[in-house]
Amino acid sequence: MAIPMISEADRLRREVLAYVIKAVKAGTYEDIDRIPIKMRPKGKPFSRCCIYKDRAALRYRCMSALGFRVEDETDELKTLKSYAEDTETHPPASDPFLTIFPDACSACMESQIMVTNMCRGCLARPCTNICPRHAIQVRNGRAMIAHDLCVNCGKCAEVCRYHAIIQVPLACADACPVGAIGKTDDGRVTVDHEKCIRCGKCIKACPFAAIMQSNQVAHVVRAIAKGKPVIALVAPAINGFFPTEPGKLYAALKQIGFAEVHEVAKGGDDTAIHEAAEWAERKAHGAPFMTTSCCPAWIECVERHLPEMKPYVSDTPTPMGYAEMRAKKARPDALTVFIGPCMAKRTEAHKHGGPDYVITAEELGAWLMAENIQLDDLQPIAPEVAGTHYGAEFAVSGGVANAVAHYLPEGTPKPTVFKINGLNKKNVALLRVFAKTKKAPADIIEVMVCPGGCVGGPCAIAPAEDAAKVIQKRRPEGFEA
Amino acid sequence: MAGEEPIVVEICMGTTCYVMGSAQLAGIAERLPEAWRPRVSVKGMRCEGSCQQEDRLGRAPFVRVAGKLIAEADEGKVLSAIREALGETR
Repeated sequence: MAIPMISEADRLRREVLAYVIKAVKAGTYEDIDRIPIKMRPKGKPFSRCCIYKDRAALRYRCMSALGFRVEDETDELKTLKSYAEDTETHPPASDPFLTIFPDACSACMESQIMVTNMCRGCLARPCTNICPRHAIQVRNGRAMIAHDLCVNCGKCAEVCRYHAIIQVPLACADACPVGAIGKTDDGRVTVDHEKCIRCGKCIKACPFAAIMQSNQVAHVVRAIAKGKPVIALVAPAINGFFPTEPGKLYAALKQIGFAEVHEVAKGGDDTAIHEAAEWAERKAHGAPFMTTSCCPAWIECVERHLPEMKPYVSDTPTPMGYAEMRAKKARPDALTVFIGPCMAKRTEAHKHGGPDYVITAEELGAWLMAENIQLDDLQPIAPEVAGTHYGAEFAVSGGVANAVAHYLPEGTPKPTVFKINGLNKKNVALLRVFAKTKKAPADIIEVMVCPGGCVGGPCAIAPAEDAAKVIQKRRPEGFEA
Repeated sequence: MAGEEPIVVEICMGTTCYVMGSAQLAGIAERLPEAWRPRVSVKGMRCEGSCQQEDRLGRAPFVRVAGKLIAEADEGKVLSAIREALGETR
C-alpha cells in the first residue's frame, strides 16, 4: 500500500489560507502583506533559489487565497492589503479558477524515455528486442533512443536488467486526463482552458506548486462578518476528512458563523431517486447504457472532449444542484456555500448560477485552524437538512451506482455497473469507444474523475482510503451495498 | 522481552495538526516493521496548544515519541524517533 503523504506544497497552501482567513476575519488586512515574511523570515531556510523568490511565490499564493487570479495582476506593487479590501467590493475571480504563477514553474523536461549512464551496452539487449518501433540501437557500447521514433511506451525501461532506462515524467501533463497542458516557448506550463476539465489533478501533481486555484473562502468570511445569513451545503466527502463525528463538525460550522447546515447527502438521495427513474425510462426506450451526471469534471470532459457521449449522460441534476434548490427555496435571503473536496464544483456553480460560493475541504480546514477550533470539544448538533447513508456514499467510488440501484422503481431489473474510478487518458479513450459504438460493458457507467471517488478529490485533507473507510463505517443496519 | 513497557507514540489529533499532516500519519501503526509492533503503542492525543506557540502554524503536526515532542512531524522523523527510543542503531 502506498504511504499516504502530505506535500510541503499542501502544507504551505494551508498555512497561507489560515493566516489570510484570520486577517480577513479580524479586518487586519495589513497583516496579509507580512505573511510572506512571516513564513520565510530572514536568515531561516528557504525552498527555492533564495528567500526572495520564496516570498514572491507566497505573495501570489496569498493573492489566490484572497480569491484573485495571478493572471489578473495589473500592478505588481499593489499590496495584498489592497486585494483584501477588494474582497469587500469585488466578487472572487470567475471561471477558470485555475491560476498559474509561471515563475514558480521549473520548466521540467517533456515526458520521455531516457537511457542513463547505468547502461552497459550488454549482449542480451532486451531493450532493442522489445521496442515495438525499433527506436533503440546500441552504439559505442550504449543503448540510444531515436526520439523521433519512440512512443514513450516504457517497455524498454521495464525489461532493462540494470534499470538503466528510465521514464522521465512531466508531472502536470501526465496527470492531466485530457491533454490540456502545454508549454510556453521557454518551457513553462500553460493550460488550455478550452480543453481543461477543471479536475485539479495538475494542482496536486506539480512538485513546484506553480499551478494554483483562486479560492473563495475570504469572500465567505466577509459575508458572514457583514451579518448575512449563510447556509453551508456540506458534501458527504467532508464527513470522511475530520477525526470526529459529523455532528461536531456541524457544530463547528455554526460556531464560525454559518446560519444553517445542510447535508448534500440529501441532494444525493434526490439525484439517486431521479436518476433511477431516468434509467428505468431510458431502458424502456432501448437505451444501451447511461452514465452518471454528478461529477462536474466528467460533465466538462463530455462537453469539451466527448460530444458523442452526450446522449448517454444522465440529465438529472447533481446533489449540489438539488441542495442549492432546496436551500434557496427555504431561505431566499440566504447565501449558499458548497463545501467539498472538488475544484470542478466551482465551475458547476458558476454555470448554474449557484451556490453563491464554493469552498474546499482545505479552505474549511484552514478556517478551523485560523479559529483554533478543537472539534472534539464541541457538542454534536443535528443538521437542518439531513440525507440518508445512500446519499452519503456518493462520496465513494461505487456509491452513486449503489444508491441508484437502491432507489429503482419497482419492477426495474437491477442494472449492471461499470465503474470509472479515476479518469485518465486511457479510460477517456475507452469511454469514447462506448459512445461511438453505442455499446458499453454495463447498464450504468459510474464516472468519478478522482480516484476513490470524491474522497480522493484534489482539495481533500485526509487520504482517500481512510476517508472512504470512515464513511462506510457509519453504514446503518440494513444498508444494502 | 516480556514485561517491557511499549514505546508510546502520540499523534496530535487537534485541528491544526490534523490539517497539517496528522491525517496522513494517523495510520502509521499499520506501517511499522513487524518486529517493532509489539514494542510500540500508537495513539492519538488532544491538542496541547503547541501549534499556537511561536506564531507559526507550520510547526504542526506535533507527535510525541517516548515523551519527546517532535514539531513538523512526518513519517521519516517519527520512524527515526521510534528507532532511537527502541535503542536500535539502524
